[in-house]
Amino acid sequence: MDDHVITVLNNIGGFSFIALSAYLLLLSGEISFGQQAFYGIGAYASGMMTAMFGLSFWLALPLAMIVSGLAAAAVGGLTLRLRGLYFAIATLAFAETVRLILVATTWQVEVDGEPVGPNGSEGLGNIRWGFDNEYEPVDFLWMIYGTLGIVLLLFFLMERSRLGSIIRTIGADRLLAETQGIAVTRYKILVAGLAGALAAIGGAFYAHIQTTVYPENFDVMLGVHSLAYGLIGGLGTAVGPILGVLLDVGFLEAVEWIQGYRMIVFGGLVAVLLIFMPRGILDERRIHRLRTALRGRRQARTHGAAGA
Amino acid sequence: MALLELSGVGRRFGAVEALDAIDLSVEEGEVFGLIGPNGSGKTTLFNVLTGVYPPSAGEIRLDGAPVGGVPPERIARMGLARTFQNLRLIPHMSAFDNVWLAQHRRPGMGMRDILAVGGRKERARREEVEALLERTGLAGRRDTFAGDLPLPDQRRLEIARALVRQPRLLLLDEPAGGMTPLETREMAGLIRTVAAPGRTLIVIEHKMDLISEICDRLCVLDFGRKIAEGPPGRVLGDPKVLDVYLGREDGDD
Repeated sequence: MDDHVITVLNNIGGFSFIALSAYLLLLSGEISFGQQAFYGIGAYASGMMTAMFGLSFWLALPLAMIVSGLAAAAVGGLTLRLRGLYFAIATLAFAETVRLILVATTWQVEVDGEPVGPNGSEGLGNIRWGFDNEYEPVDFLWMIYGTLGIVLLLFFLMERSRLGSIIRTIGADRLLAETQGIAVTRYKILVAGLAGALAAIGGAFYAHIQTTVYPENFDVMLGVHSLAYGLIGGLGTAVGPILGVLLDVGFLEAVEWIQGYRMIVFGGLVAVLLIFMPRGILDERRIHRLRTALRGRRQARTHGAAGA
Repeated sequence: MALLELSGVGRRFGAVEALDAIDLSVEEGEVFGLIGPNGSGKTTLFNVLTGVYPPSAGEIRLDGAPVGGVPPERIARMGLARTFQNLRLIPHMSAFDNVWLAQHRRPGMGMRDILAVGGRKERARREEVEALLERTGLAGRRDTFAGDLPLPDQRRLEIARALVRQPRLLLLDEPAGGMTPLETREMAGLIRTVAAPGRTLIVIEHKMDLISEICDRLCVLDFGRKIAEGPPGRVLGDPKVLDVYLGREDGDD
């Protein structure tokens, strides 16, 4: 595989995590304009752990997820018992605060005679874990898609369990959920925390592939895009947001003749879809049709076999 | 002791007294009718009972426990279920899924039941949902999106969803609203089978033939006040009630 293809594939995989994180919140009826903060926290926390303190990436990743998940649950805990747009506003404010704190923070330790650590707008560099362990971009490719596969499997299991249905019920009709005995606020905070942890996975991979990350990498455009991915790809299945990433990063960004017009095409695509497919390409109805059709065929086959 | 007891319950919205000093008591196993003209406070009373709005005055006891101002999810878990006059189904979920979701936080279910994707207990609960769809005449509509069902089916689906919670007290808000006379008769039959095992029901309805057929006792609300209470035969002949429904004698209606 040539390097450009690998870079594009790595980007698609990395953005898939933040897209899934925004998607999970959308299912629960919440909009976040700040998932880039948790992507950023994942990048910085994991990068600091491996570069400054010599932890393995595989230990830094879950630790960064916990840090980011707790931060997200805290933002949710402050705002999710209120009805309305408070969570959306709070996530945006939180994300800008995180970015400004990163710009203002310098904290470096000496590693092999060199200062390593966050250095304001100069960013966090020397994230050499991949380099030190002789990981090529193609190795990261396997790591990203292996992790994405596990996350998707967990999503599919969740969608078949009552937890998935609770989240969708809350998202569709909060009052209905309450009258069915569901403690809505508690589940919303849980979802916010899980979404924060999910975004951190993408950030951690991003930091270790780039080896240097800057506060400006985590600006509001990243959050807006991740929100759009689910709305484009569809809210009927976890494959939806990944389809959204594929369309944006895999097609609009990678195809050369669109270059320069990418944001115009992307914005137009979102506008058109919101009118004609308000819940995205793979919405609940299409997914339901697909599922019943598949089940019908399976039943027909087993009945046919029983008859023969 | 009565299953549900209200004393002096009031609810005001700004200057509007939507409910004013309501005293009621509903006995276990009773089918209790709640009637009154539009805007008389019937649905507000349901909303106060289910915790959607806290009462602004008075006391409500469900099986002796005070429930005034308790959040709706806690009241629901105490064994209260309701249907909605203007239908609250999730349109982009199948009929089956709309009933299934009402089991999620049924008393006695824990985190393991919420995360399970199979298993014997889950299969039994799913069969329960299928049986209720069968009983409410919706078995053939199992996989249809709730939003695509005709209105009478949507009302029956709301009842199936309420029943799967195995409620001790079931509140039905206009279960025959918008139905033809034939559909209304079928609904009366369904409500009778729902009430048969000694379940306590409170029914809001405008169709007097349905009310007088299924209810043991009635209460009439007008402008948030209780104006009559008793067995259907007596209440529906009460001149005060006739006034409310047929217009007052001074004819300013």
